[in-house]
Amino acid sequence: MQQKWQRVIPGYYFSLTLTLLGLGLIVVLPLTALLISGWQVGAPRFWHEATQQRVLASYLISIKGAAIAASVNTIFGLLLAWVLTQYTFPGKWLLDSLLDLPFALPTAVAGIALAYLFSDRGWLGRLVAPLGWQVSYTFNGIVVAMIFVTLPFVVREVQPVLAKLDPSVQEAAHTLGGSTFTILRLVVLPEILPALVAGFGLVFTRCLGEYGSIVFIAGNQPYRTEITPLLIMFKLEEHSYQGATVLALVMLVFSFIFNFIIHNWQRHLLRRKG
Amino acid sequence: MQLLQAKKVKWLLLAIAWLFIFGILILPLALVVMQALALGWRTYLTTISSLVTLQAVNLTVAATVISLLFNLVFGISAAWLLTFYDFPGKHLLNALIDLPFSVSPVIVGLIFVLTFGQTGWLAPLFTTIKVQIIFAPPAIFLTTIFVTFPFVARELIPVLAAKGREEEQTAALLGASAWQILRQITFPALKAPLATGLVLATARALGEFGAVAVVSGSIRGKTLTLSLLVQTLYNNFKFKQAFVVATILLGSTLAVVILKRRLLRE
Amino acid sequence: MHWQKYNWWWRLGLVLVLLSAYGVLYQWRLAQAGANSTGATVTLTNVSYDSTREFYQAYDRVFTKYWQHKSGKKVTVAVSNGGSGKQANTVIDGNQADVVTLALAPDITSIQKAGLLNKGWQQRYPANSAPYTSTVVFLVRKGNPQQISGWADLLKATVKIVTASPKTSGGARWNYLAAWAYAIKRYHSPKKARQFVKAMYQNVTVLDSGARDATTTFVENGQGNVLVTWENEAKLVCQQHPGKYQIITPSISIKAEPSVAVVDSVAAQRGTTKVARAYIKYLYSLKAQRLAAQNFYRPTDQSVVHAYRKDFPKLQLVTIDDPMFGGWAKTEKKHFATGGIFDQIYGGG
Repeated sequence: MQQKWQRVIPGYYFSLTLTLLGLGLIVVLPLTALLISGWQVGAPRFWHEATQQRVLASYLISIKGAAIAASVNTIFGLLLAWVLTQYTFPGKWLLDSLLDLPFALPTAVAGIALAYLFSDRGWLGRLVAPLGWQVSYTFNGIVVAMIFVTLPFVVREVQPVLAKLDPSVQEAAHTLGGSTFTILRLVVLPEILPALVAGFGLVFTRCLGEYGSIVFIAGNQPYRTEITPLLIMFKLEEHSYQGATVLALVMLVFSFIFNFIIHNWQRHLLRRKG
Repeated sequence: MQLLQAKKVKWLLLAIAWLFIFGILILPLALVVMQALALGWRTYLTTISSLVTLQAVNLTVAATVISLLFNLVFGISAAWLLTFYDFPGKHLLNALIDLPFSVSPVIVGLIFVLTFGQTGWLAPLFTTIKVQIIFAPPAIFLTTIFVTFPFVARELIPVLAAKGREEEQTAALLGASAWQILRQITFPALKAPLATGLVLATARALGEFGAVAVVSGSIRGKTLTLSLLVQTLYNNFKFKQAFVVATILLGSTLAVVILKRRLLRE
Repeated sequence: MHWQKYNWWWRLGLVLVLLSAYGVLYQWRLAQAGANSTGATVTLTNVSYDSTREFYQAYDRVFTKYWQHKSGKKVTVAVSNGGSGKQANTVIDGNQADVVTLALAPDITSIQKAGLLNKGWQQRYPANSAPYTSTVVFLVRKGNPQQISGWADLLKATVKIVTASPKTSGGARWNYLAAWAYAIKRYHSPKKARQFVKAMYQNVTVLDSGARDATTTFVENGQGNVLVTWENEAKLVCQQHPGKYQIITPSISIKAEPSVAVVDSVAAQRGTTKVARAYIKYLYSLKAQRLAAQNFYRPTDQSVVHAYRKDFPKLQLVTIDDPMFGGWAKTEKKHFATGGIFDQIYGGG
């Protein structure tokens, strides 16, 4: 019984204290403040703040944008990962390195660059304007910004799995007469599905919370291009801490539930794969 | 699978990939540089060496260095704790470390205002000791630490876990102190992931915007970080100047990415 | 081994050289700004709103000189710019502002209500504590393709208005009130005025959150064909983009009064009361008034008004204290509060 917790290595209490102190002061304390002020709001007021029309519209915009961006990035992430792992081509290292950039690039820089690029005077904005597409200051702009900042997520999840894929299995399947799509569906897809799901989840969560790049490109109009983080910012600026707290809690709870589902789905897929 | 290995298909997929990356990644970055230089080298140099920019650089670097130091100490201690010992609540602790990743930057700002702001519940304490937290550099440091919180620990934990604790246990049984074990056995194995984690944290710390925007107050020369300076300039018709300041951030991003590549190769 | 050692020293040296070069540059810039000279230096923080950036940059230089001459002490002014309401809230939340120079009186009143400055602040300085004023005008693209000459033209079907939302931007409340003032003067009926303003806001294609955002949307991103904004903002655009835009001044508009005040409790606590008061008072000096006029604000000093009369076309200006509004408290409640007239006419998107 006394062997249940093995602590042969010295420094347990020291590292425990240090870790708890850091975690407590930086993470737990402020988040508790959020919970407490959320509690103080009271249920009726909470419900009222959380379900105002403008707020509901912002949830929808955030979720819709995140879902589209996550789908686009899942498709292109898979494509990029495939290209990077299955083919050899000149400039491969460059493509691979470039993919690290969105992760490291400050969101404000991404924001002003994208807003300008897709505005009516920017290179791409001018290009798509005759098609009747408008990107900057519309919902499309939000999606573009979301796609940009989460570009590497799916690639980096899928890449290692695809790299480890055993080509002999595919060849065997091929000699057994399977068509390309059958093999993809039955052999490749199950292998990479957990990674795809995880990547999708990462992108989606990050997109929901993204603020910096979107404010520059979104136009920030209530009911049309106002995402929830921006609305939290407004509530703060209007000095409505209650409103901000309520929205923050709704967002946090939503993303926890979402992450929980994604996590379990991924676990389920991994288990099925064996 | 022959189909996907066919030359035509390969080139088609490659073309799509490059086109996508070109449109959404290369063009915006090229645009930053083009816009920054649009007013000529002289304007570029005067803007980049103006006092406001330099003060923003100072504050940003200070915030980055402080959060890196914190990350270094906390990351090693958390990785040490979570891989070398079993204790109740370990899973919870593990989950808590990851938490800052899933919190929106704006919410990060909000929770610090709720804690340390004038109406916050720690306000009385800080008013009595006359320390200004919100709308002053300390808040910027705190939020930067928060958003970079998991980076180092996340890099260290899997490496330490894969390494196992046998060596350390043997050393401990032979009577080595914690410090000796850390310095001679654990640390050498942690060098590479530690460097990677710190590089990632640097990237995030240099560019944090949303959280800092909430707590900063944007006072020129006092609480303006580089990202906030970009925003302030952009909001004041100084578009080109905003892009000039953005090149500083772009440059540091490139440096970070190159550094990370080199570290991973080693 | 030897090579590696050498490499490390070399790298360290390079870093040190770069760092010291940076330090020299920084110190030089500091000295240039005059902040690093010997002698007692006071820092004054002025929390202001978006469009005053250029004005206060110029004013701070003049004031620093004046103050050194007068008191023999150095003062450096740190300015923060942002949306007016937001700025006021940061002050309430503890942003240590010695003075506030915001877009409208209610923002300063909310700071007063938080107990940071004394009641009656608006009577402490001349002209309602608004040393410079502005008004609401229209900015159109060169040649005025929509042929807009007054408020009534904004209702044309082809007109696409860009402006800021009075709900989120304090400065934009003046825009809304200007339209209301015109409609009342024209129709003499609140009911008709409401219809007019409603029709006008139906022509708004982009309702931005802040005045500056609206300008960006109109100018940089080419949305809409008329920007309803402050005169100084419109003039600033014309200065930044010569020959591309023109200003249409309507016959009736509002007298926008950006208010200023010393934040008494902060100034007292920081021991800056004297210099903060001087900072506000000096805004009414001839020099400062001229600077305001050069930065497109309408001066309040009559001699300066006269000198710059060519720059500011005459028009009928309605004030917030006009019986149709009856002061800010009443106006806020009637028009901008939740469920107020603006909500009723602009409602759910």
